[in-house]
Amino acid sequence: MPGKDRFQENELRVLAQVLLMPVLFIGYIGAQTGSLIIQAVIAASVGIAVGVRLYWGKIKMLFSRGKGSKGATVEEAETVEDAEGLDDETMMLEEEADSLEESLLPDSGIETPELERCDTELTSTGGETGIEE
Amino acid sequence: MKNRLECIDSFVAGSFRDPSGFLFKRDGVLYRQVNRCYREDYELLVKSGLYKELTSRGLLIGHSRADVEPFVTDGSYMVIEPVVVPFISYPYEWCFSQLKDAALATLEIQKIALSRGMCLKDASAYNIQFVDGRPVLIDTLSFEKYREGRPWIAYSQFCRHFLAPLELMARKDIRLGLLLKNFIDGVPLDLASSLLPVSSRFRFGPLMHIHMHARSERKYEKEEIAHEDVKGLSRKSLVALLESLGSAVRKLRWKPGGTEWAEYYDEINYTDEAFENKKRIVKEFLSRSGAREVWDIGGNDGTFSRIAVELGADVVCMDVDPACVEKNYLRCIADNEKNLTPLLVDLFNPSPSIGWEATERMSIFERGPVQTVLALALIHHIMISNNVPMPMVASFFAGLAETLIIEFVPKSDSQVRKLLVTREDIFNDYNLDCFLSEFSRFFEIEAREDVMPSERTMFLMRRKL
Repeated sequence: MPGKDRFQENELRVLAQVLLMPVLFIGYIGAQTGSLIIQAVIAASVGIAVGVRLYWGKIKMLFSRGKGSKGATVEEAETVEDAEGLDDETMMLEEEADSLEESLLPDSGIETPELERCDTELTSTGGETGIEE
Repeated sequence: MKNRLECIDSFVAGSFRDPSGFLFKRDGVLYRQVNRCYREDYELLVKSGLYKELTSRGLLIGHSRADVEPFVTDGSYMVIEPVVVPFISYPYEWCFSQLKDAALATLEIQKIALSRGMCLKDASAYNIQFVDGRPVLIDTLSFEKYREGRPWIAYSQFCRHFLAPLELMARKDIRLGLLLKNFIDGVPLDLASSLLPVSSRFRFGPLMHIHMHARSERKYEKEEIAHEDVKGLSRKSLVALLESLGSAVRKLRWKPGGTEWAEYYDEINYTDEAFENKKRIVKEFLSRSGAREVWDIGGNDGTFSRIAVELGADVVCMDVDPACVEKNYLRCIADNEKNLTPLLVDLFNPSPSIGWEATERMSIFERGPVQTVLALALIHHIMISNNVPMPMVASFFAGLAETLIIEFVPKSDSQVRKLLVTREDIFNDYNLDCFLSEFSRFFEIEAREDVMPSERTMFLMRRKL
């Protein structure tokens, strides 16, 4: 059928134009700005959560010293870390989160009020690592 | 050189979005054209060892270079022939654990890719298929060179395609996974956020990846901020993001049970003897039919599908009950069963063709016909629960299968009587004579046997030429 052939040919031309167009964009799927920003916030929050957990043993030691039990040791803090399942990789994130948090704030002109809220949520829910729901 | 129109068989409708390449079929063989714009990334995929690592770990479909003409000559770099996936299924047909495993596989692939200097440029659930019972990425062109500092472009897509439906299924209602049928690019995060229970806001995963994510997208939606102005994300931070997503997905649980069909085989009305007889007859009929491809429709937890698997067939077991499909899939995983694909399919509202021009994703029946269909304890539900007349039932099965193994359940059976308790019996054509007369229009009855000591009868039928 000539009509069908013409239709197929036109369809192919359009297809070829679409498929072979120059790729100048950063991704062929759309990514909303908000989605890109929240990634950094989450990564920072995870780092902060890990940091809080990392130092939780030391914070506990401070309080226990206040109550007169001076026997708390570094080993104790390490046991807490182990119990919470922190591995080397997640521990490294603590430093990362600090610098990331700074980099997110004002100079880019993008506000990140989420950060503050994340911290609150993290400490209230136990953060991302080690807590089973 | 051949005119490109002369050598065309067909363009595969679901692969037009990514300019890196696309799928086409020629003489019944599936090929993927890789375009010149993807050359650098394709070479990196191979040279970095990523392709080898992912294929050897069963996470990426393998392919070989094909010495054939490209589908569109201009701009083509090469043509590859991917390993064929026996049966294509879609995320709205997966049970909870299938979607969860597909999500975790996607994250694992992304982590491995990062370690080799590449990353996933998309995270579509449609890029994952179940091959030998395990989730596998089927889009070879999904990788691109990782650029330090760049956020994950596919993060939002991952949340829409995987995390949002999983959260909704686990925390709200298992049936919300069916939203994926309506939203081809995943459940919108603002919708997921509004549907999730308040308690989800006290969990880090859903709080950040769904609620805050939706809020952030909404907040910056109308602000003209170029992507280049968004501050970067280091590799370690990206790994932290992936860990956080993985943790959110892994923590989600759904316990099957309590649904209409989940305990069906504990409540059936026939005796152990009848049940064993039924299994024997099914096995015999399957052997006689020489079944290699089987669709077990209304297959519950796959008890009878497994008989076909034992005989060497590839089986797709469809059921409407998410709990049955979940149980079936978990058993497949536990027993490392490779030739059985459990799917969530409602025979009375089957998966439609969706997407652009309604051709992007195939309807369930476009993925047939199949060699053999098992329709056990099904006909009374089709006719009495759903008022489908006998001639339509017979023509439906004739359009679907060459060989049909079907169980007739008479009105005197307690299961049928149960269905008729709450309604007027308007089903005058629901009897064995009418059944035989209508099915004989399309099929040769090759064998029949009563399932003693019940009142049911099994039939082996072959479609007339």
